[in-house]
Amino acid sequence: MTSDVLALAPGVDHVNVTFGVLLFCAAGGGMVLAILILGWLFRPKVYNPDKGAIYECGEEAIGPGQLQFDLRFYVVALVFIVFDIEIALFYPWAVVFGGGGFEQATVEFMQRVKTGALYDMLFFFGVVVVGFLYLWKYGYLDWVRALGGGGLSAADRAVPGDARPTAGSEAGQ
Amino acid sequence: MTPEQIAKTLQDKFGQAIAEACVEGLHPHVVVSADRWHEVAVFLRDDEHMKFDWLRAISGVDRMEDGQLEAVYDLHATQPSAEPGGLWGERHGFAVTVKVPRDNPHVASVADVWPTAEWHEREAYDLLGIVFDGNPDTVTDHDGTHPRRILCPDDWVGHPLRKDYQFPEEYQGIPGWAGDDRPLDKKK
Amino acid sequence: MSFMVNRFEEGLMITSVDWALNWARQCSLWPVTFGLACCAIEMMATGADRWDIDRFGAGAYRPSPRQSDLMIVAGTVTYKMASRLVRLFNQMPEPKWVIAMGACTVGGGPYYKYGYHVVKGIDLILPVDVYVPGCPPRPESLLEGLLRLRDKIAHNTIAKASPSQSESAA
Repeated sequence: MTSDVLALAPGVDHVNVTFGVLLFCAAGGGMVLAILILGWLFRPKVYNPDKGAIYECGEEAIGPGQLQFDLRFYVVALVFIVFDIEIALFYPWAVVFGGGGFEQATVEFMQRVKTGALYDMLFFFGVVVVGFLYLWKYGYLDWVRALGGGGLSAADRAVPGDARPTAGSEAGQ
Repeated sequence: MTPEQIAKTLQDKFGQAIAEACVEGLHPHVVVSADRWHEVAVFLRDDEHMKFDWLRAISGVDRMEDGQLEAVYDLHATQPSAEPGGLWGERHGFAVTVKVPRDNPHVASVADVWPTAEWHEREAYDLLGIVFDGNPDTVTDHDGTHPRRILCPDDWVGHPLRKDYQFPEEYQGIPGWAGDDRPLDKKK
Repeated sequence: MSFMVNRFEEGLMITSVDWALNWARQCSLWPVTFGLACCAIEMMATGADRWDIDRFGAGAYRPSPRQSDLMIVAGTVTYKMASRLVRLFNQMPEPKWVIAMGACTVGGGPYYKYGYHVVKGIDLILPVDVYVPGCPPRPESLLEGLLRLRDKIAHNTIAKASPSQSESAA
């Protein structure tokens, strides 16, 4: 465990590398800036009130452009974040548990690591699983809510159904 | 049922409401007076011998020489009626004409009898000016209470397919003609 | 107008800048999809592989007028459509050009005499740069119109107009 953090090619030192990266970033930013400035210098500026209006295929826009999103997407995103981080934390544990990252992994060293590490990870996993079971039981993972409990009525749904009643009775049937 | 039988049944049931019956030729029809048209329509749809469940079209006609506007309803039965005319039963078609005076062209709407009538009535109003009272898509504006226009813009003036229609000089600031010369003489 | 336009007299730098600007603008004319009627089918054929409008740089049809600089009005324009057409044209950023494609947009077309609902030529409502007659014009005609428009753009200049010149700056 005495290897260097970063091994560079002979003749290259850290200052050179840093300077190179900064020059690269500056050149990229500079090119973009140059193009934007050239555009500002040469483009025509004509104001028209329609240009600031909301685009609705030529019609006058009716109502605001923002609708409320269905809240189920928020729940899905939140659950994903939590469990994704949990999985991300599994990876380094798994690498160490499998013996990687050690120059000399002796058998008795590994045995000592494994028992302790296993109980640690089971504890961590257990805590997260309790949260998962809570979600599952209380129905937060169901996309379609069961009837009779906390569902949205037809009037409140984000996607409006057909509001017009059918005209008259069926003819002739 | 043959056109003669249909016309006879209607005349027996409604009497004076059936002004005339023209069953010869390619377009057999009866002429119904506008005030009892809705009753006749419901009968035509519901009676088990008639069962005209499909309104194919409402066509408007401008009869300028009589001073009348006419609405022609083309009906068709998609199921065979209770009186079969052969091995497979006969699916019959028929037409009904309703005539209204030009200065007061009001007809009862049959959109509650045949739902397709809604758009056809809007078109007949838009292009000829026949006002259908009771159409589900009715608006009230400077022209009165009438079905909403379907083809022309909502603030159009006039009914274009009338025989005495004057072409507009301009609409919302856009001139009606590209140059100074009008290629169309004013109609009488 | 912007900083450089109409500021300097004509000279070597200005003509070089002119050349570069005009080259960029004429070789990337992005049309806004405005196919209204039958001419739209010919416009689509022009965009397809046999007549390929994309080899002139004009094949990137934009769904939004805010990202385009050319409006090919292809089809009959009715009075009901005219207000939408003008609003979309106003929403396009400068520099912008209009090609009137087809007889209906040039002067009313077959609806000139009895069409109560047709605008008799879109130059009554929009400033048109190139007229492409035909009913409908063949794709080759539309490409010829596009090339004429490119020539028209090539004559634009950002130089200050001297009193002797009749052409004004772009």
